[in-house]
Amino acid sequence: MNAVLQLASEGSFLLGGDAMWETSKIGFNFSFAPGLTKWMIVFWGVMLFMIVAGVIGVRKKALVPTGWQNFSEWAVGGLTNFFTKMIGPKLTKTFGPMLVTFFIFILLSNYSGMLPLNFSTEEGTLSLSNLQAPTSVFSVTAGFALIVFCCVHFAGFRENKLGYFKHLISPVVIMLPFSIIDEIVHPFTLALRLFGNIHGEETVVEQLGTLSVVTSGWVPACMEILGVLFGLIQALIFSLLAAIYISEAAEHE
Amino acid sequence: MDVNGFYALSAALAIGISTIGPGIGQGLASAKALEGMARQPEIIGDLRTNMLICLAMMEALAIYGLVFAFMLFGKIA
Repeated sequence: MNAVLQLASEGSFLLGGDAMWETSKIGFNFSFAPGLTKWMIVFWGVMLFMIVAGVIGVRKKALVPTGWQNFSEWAVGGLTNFFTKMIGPKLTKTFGPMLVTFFIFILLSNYSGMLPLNFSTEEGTLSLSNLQAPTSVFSVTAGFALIVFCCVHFAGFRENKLGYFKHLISPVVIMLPFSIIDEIVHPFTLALRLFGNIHGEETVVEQLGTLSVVTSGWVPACMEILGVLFGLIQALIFSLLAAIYISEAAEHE
Repeated sequence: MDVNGFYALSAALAIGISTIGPGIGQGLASAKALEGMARQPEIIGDLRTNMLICLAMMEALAIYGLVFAFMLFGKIA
């Protein structure tokens, strides 16, 4: 029994028990101290899953795809078509892969929060709870938004060269500070929206579970079913808004 | 009421008040979008995407309140 508990506590370190370096309650932690957190392991897990799935998808390329290759081609092709309709073929050629990756990664991250793989051994009993989704940490979503921020301005510079700066002072020069605030607020809201939605949903599920003995089982389960929909919508919204910001920056006169 | 009570109350007020406006706005937006979809079923796809974008923009306001509620909630000792 002790050996099992020992294994479980090691597993708790790997799968999201107490980490060496605890984050603050909502992850507003900008420290660069080295250390592992719960969500970092999940983050790497999602990364590994995506890499393995991608490698399996293209390992044996057949002209008539079957099985996993078929599914991957359907998913990536469908999303690329969706973004092509949204921002045009030229921008999709550069930013399409990034946007598709954002969509799939955020979707998988949101859904990873529903896996009951969080082993913990509080008071000697082994208990399972949901993993912490990486997207419910502000640092992660802020990182995503930073990538989008860089891509937006890269797209603007590439399409309009130095004329890109003109959009800051159009229609009048007085708009300059407001335009700058706008440029900063866009990625900030992008990060906050994803973080707030996923973190809020996880908190609601957690709180509903502790509400009363009668409702502790099925009420959070119902909320999780709603969470499936929310996770999909948030992944879509994030990649869609990123695409729109990029196309807006690229289309400036 | 001690300080913790005020933190709890302000967290509840932050999320409670900040949902009113976006709630009304999202209701109006989706009502109009559904109306448009019913009148012109051929542009349902475009309308749905645009509606989602608009809803996300409004949702951000409520999310600000939620984030502040979390921050205040974290202050409860």
